[in-house]
Amino acid sequence: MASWHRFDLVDSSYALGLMAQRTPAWTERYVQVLDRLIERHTSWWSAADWLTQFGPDPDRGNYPDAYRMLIPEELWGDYDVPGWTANGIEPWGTQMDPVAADGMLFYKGFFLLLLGIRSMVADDDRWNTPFDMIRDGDNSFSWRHSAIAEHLKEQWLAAPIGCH
Amino acid sequence: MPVNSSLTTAFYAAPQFPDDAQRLFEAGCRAVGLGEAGPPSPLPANRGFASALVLAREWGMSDLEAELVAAIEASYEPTWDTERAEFTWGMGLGEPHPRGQYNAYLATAEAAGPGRWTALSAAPIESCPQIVGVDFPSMALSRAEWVGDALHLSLAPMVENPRALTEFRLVGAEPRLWFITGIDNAMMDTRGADVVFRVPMVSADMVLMPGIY
Repeated sequence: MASWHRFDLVDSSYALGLMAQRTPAWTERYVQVLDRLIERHTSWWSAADWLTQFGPDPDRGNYPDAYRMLIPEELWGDYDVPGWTANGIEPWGTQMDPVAADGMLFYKGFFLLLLGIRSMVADDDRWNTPFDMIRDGDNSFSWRHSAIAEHLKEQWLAAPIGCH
Repeated sequence: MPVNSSLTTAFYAAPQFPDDAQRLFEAGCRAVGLGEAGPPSPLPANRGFASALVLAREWGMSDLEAELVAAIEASYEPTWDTERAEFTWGMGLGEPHPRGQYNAYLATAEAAGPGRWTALSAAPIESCPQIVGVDFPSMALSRAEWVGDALHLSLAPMVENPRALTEFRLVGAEPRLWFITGIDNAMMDTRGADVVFRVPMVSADMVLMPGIY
């Protein structure tokens, strides 16, 4: 579930945020590194799972026994392992923007965490100006930090169980 | 989910729901033997023990911190590559490149301290005049903090060389002269609105005190 490229980026930001607290009068390097992490998180590779895992997992019937603790017993063989993003399933259909999508909570949530740590460390508000994400022809999407947070908040308000 | 996964869940919950996070954390610790029979040896490669060390330091749990530090030192292969100036953990995996996520949590634990993870979520770092242009990684600062009007800097060069000089600037402060204490052979100059410091490549705790305009 967490074995995707973007988790290396996001998880690396935690230490930077804490180090910046130890040297609050020297934050230049942390901001530079955080900016590079965020830049990478705007690329296609950040959402490689959402952009390649369409529909039910065709490998559902071949999961290793270790997955049994993650899947209801009665649905074994007919249930996607947590982390399989299943873009395109009904009733939502295919949605290529991982931020706008009805699903992909763990994408936009962790991206907000990365953006949020940067905003706690830096003096400027660089990522609140629009930037392009995914950048794959027609599948290019413009977002900014506050807009992503607002969108996710609306998704939570719209569905009591939250964004899936 | 197995209860030991709560070691990482508690890490994310701690700043907003500290009481619930602590209950989750204690359950996770019990599940892996921390504070009781002891954790498995060698430790399995995962995030849980590193995020547990972050929270042990966050909440000032010194006995648990010592137990985790000993286990992590023994199992996770902390390694300095002095040529590349990289500190990483091999995690006992025998892989050519260190695992990003596991190393990220362990690095977080290195920077952790009482209340720091919570403070990061609570408010931005207070804006203050900044040191810029440090020749990192040849030189680093392990402390850069204003205490009243004085700026405390702890210099941490990768290789000490008292005869070599390095330079950095102070920006955002009123242009003035600064008294330098705690280090020999340091110099200062003004360049426009910035103050430029040249210091030898030595470990030192230097203090900049405001002088005359």
